[in-house]
Amino acid sequence: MVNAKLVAVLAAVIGLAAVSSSAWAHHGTSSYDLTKTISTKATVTSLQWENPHCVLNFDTKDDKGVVTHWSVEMYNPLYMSRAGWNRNILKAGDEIDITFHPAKNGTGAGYVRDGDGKIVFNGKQMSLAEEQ
Amino acid sequence: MRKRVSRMLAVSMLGALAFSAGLAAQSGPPPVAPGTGMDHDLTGVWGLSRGVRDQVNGMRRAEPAAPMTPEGQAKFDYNTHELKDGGPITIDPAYTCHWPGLPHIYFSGAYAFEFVQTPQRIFIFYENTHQWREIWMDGRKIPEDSDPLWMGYSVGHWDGNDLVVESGSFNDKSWLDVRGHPHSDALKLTERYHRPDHDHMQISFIIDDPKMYKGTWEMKNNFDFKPTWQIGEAFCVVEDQAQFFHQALQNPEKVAPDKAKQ
Repeated sequence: MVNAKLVAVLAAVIGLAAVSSSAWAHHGTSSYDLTKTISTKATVTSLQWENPHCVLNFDTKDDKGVVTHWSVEMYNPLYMSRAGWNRNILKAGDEIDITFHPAKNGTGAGYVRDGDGKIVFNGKQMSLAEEQ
Repeated sequence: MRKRVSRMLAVSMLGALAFSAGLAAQSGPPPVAPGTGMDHDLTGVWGLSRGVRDQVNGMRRAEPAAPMTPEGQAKFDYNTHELKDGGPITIDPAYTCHWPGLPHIYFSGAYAFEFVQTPQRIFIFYENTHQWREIWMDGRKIPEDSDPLWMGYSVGHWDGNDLVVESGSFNDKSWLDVRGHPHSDALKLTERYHRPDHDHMQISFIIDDPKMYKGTWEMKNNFDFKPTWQIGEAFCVVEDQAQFFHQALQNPEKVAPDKAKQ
């Protein structure tokens, strides 16, 4: 029984993980609710500059002061470099405005992408598109 | 006088003939100028053309792109069974850092690759999982007794200004693409690298795998020349994959990985 439960959990982890694994074309966007867009002010907690994807971690605060933590998927580090980013471009404590799609499973994961995503830092919109 | 006129006419006709012959000679394939990138030269870094990514994502579906054998259909059905349940594909071997293989490596992510050419061989270095392959250009054939290989054994030749690469000796451990199309060890892959102009490349992949498919079929992808780019390091590291997986799956009650480090 325990084993069955463990297998089920592992399967769920591996399955959902694979949703966000590797690059965009691998997992697609089906784990994210692309009909939902969140635009909010946020405080960066870290920028993970790693394969298979960079992840931007940040906190948001609602009107009642309740803090929500988010981990939002970006493109791979090479892509982000070609979009003008580097691993030190955002640091803990930086204030940003961000527009992203939340995950369907409501776990605090999300996805910010070129096109309908947006990150504004110090009054300047940061590119999410590779240089051409 | 009449003879002189006839002689002049004959010389003129001969001249006209010689001129037209010259024109005829020039109306064949246009000469290629060294250094233009159009002279059997694909050297340099290439990146995925914009717009392709959406096409690839848009192609995700549970129907195969080509008629399949019963064995191929069974494998495809298994590879894509999650799509039928409304979920994403999660069992692509590349997700657990198995080598993507060919032509999967061209269809999995916004990664660049670089051509390096020598007289005997053409090398392609892929950012995606930091792999490389060689294409023999010395006229040899694909050996019949080669070990099964992830990237296959490749021989190439020029057809006009197109590079045509034939590959065989594949193992059956990778998928053809991110959509779940399987291949067997009988796969024969023919790639045509067509450079319509200096800055663009179209790659056609002809799949010939009688164990999996009822006939040959074609996949395509487009790339742009990136003269200012350098290929970078993008290894697939199991631990990094696992960390990302965990993070993408974080439960609300769990502390996010970056906070756990603090």
